[in-house]
Amino acid sequence: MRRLPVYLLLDTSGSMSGEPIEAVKNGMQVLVSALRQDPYALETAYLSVITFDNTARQVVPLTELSDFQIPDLKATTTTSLGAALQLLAETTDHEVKKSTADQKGDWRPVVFIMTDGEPTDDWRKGLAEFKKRKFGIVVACAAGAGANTSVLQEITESVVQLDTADSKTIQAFFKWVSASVSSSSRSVESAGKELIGLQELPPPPAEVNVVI
Amino acid sequence: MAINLVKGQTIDLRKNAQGESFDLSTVTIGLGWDVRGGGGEAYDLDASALMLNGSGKLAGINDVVYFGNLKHASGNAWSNGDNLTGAGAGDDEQLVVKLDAMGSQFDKIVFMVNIYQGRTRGQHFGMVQNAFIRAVDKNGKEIVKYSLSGDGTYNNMCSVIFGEVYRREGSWKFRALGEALPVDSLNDVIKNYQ
Repeated sequence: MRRLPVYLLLDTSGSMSGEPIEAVKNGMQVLVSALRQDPYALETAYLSVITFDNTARQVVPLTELSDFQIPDLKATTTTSLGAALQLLAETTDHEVKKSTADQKGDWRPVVFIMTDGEPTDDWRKGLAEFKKRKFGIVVACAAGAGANTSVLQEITESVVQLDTADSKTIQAFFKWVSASVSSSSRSVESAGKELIGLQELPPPPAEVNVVI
Repeated sequence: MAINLVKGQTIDLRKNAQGESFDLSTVTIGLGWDVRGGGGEAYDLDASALMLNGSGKLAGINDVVYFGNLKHASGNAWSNGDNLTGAGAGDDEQLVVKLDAMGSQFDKIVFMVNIYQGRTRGQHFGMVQNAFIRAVDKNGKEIVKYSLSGDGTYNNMCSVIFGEVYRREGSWKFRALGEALPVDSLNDVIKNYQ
């Protein structure tokens, strides 16, 4: 079976404390509940969570939806986005099965990155490792006006921005992530086609602005 | 009106005997098949394009467009995805080649289909019917079509070389092949070109 790996890279720096981090946890709950209702996603999507503050850690390894448990997140310290990209690269090396001429591996991983600030580490180093791997669609979300969209645009051409990092807006973002994973799952399961661009995903809601 | 070929026959892709000319900047090679009814595990057929040099050799796996490499690094050949069932009418898989832009190191492109894990699943081309390969030009005009005959030669065969396009005097020609091989793995097919 070819899995569709979905990686969530979530900023858990100090500025996310309070309403934003609670909204992210609720958002993950919404995401998992919705995907568990979707036969295509249930069949193919696997979920992992990587958080980053003064370091990056994989708090949930790649897990099938039925076994996925919402991790407890705490918001502290700085924003090591580079470390998160580096960890993502290393993690996919051993978690994602590659295709060879004899064996079909997993689909290319789908990545959603959410951050509300500026990276505080050497993010270009992590970015270089990330760029060496092949990913499917990568969406970076700048949560709130303080997030640096130009950094995110170096990671991916698919960048969205939330006007505010409040609970309603973050919920709307996660609902859209859920719809995006659903349509990606449907596409690989029924057509064998990986989605590659933002324009192939469901249109984002009003709270989620596409950054051009 | 598209030309229907028989096995071994060739045709110039740029223009046909009726004087029609075709735009070869983007040529879509459509491959289709149906699997004869009956239960059992679903057939998973994969189409691949092998980009060969003037001696008919493959430089490496990076010059094969397949499920593990859906787009050639040059950007001049790609797959439109992996159909896992063969369900529905029309093309089941499409390989797209930009013949006009194709680098001069490539003189021939071989189009093949193999039954993924066919040997272990007891599946073979004797159970596949209505198999065809066709070439469509940039404007959607069908240039040529070759329907593989469902004769007994496909029994116990898990790979079929459907056809090939090759350079000839500044143009591209298409040749209908329909050559069957018993192996089910792409790797075993490409060994013949290395």
